[in-house]
Amino acid sequence: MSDCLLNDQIRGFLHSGVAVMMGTRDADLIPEAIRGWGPVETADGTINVCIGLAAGQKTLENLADNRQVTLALSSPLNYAQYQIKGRCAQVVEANAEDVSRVESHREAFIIACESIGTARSVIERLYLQDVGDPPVLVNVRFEPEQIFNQTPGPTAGNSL
Amino acid sequence: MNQPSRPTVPLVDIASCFEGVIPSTICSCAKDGTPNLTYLSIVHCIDANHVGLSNQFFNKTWKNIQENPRAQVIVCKPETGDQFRLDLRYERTVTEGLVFGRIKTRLDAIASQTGMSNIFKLRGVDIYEVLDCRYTAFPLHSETAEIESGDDVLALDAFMERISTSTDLDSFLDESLKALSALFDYDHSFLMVPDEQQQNLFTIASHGFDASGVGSEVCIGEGIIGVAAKQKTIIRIASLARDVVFSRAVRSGVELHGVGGPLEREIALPGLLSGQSNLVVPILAQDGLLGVLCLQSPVPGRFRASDERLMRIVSRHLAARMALLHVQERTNSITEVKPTSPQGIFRSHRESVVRYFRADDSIFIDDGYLIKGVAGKIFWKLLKIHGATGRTDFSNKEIRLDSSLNLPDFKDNLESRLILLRRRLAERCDFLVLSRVSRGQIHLDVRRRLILEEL
Repeated sequence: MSDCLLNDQIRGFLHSGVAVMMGTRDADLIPEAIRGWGPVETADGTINVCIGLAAGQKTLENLADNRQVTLALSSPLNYAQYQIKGRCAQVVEANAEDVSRVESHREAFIIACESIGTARSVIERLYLQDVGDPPVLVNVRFEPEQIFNQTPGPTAGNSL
Repeated sequence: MNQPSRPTVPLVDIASCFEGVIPSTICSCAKDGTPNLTYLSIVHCIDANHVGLSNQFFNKTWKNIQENPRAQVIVCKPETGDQFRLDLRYERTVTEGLVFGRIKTRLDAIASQTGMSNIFKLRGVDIYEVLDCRYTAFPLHSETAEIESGDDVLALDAFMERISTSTDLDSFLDESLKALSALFDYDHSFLMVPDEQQQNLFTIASHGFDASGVGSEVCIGEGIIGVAAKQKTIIRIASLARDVVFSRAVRSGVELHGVGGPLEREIALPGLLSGQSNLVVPILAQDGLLGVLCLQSPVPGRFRASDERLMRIVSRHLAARMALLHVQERTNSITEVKPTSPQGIFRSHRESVVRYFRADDSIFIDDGYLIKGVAGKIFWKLLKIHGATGRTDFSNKEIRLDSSLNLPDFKDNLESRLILLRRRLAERCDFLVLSRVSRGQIHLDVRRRLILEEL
């Protein structure tokens, strides 16, 4: 368990309108990426993030196989980026609270994308393609172990 | 020998994913099994089953790929939001050749525009085989299917017809930009031509802007337009705002940590303040630079590869026509001019001060800047002759032969300079009108008493 691995800056970043991607791999080390929605830090220091069930079949198989997971966060507004690596603790069907959180995140992400010229309709469609209509989501809870600064530039890749 | 892969979704069907409008992500895996994600500004489509990634900052990805060549990239169609998974296997890295050159030119242009030329260095282009390409999940029904450009040939034909009717460079420039708007929906365009020393480009005509921008300059070799001119290569930018944001993120890191090369200033791009999409097309004749056509749009990803191909054809016709008009203008110049109107008859009792600064041949009218350089020098000459003799009609040939103007013998830009001068006057001064009377002859209409001061 990793209490307080996230500082306030990264916590605020995690809960803002950032792009979220989840990465896993299978037993043959073949990587798999999927878009994540509604990331949040829980009281015990783990992170919850939702993925679409249909788009996430391979990801879920990978998590069941080896639990290794990484989460990349990127702000459309300024390209600030972080990556959080850890181990999956639990996968459960998303509840109403999760769905509400996902919708809040989606809206914040849309607003951020609109400010740099991407149409709302594009992100809404991207979301529906990811999670289905109506959305069918699963919640992935994982324990963060390492955080990296990935903002492009001389310090990209530095561990925090 | 392995057979080439056949992606489920052909890469050609998702061409817009490779324009760099929406960032992509690459997932790799270290040999110890730790996955890694990195955001990518752009994924380059190389052919039916290869993509290329520029190798600059993603060192962890590079390290992973050396240990484990498998990777996965997620790309997104900017017009629909449809996402695709590309399963990749690293093949090789190229550090020269056509693909490397094309990607390097684009990177150099953005680096120059954002003042990051000493920071953004393309080390190589990593080439990956695409093992498969498929929807990430649900292929939603598309209501915004890509518009096929089946009418391009008809539009091209109409374009050629329209520009062929122009008999002088002035009307040709305007007609060309109007036709690009009417026939291809390129609503914001401007055309720049090089100065005599081939060091700068200046705007000579524009269409679709609140302010014409005629006379604005860029250095050849600097910024997106300058690099396109210097490299004589088309440059297409799909989302300038994102490129600028990306560059600023790197810049702030460099400033904070003091590493990397020295930073340069960001360069303001002429044209639309909100110009997201830019297509910069050099106009070449026998490898000589006649001008640069710049198309802009506030819509990200407006210009596709098909627009680039189209404008490549258009630019060749523009070049041929411009070269022909230049030759006609030079060979048919009139030596003798008609008698002038009498001096001293003004339609206004007001007077204005025209100042000429020898240092840079700049002209100011009542303290308002008008023009500089060769055009300024020519205009001062005309004003002085008018002031001394009352002459109002002049021939291009006498200007060209005037040794005091020091115009170059070959490839002078006299007609372009006169067009620029006419347009600057039309925009900024209502009592001095320079008009083209006939081929090779201009008329200066002075409607106010002038006080000429040379400094």
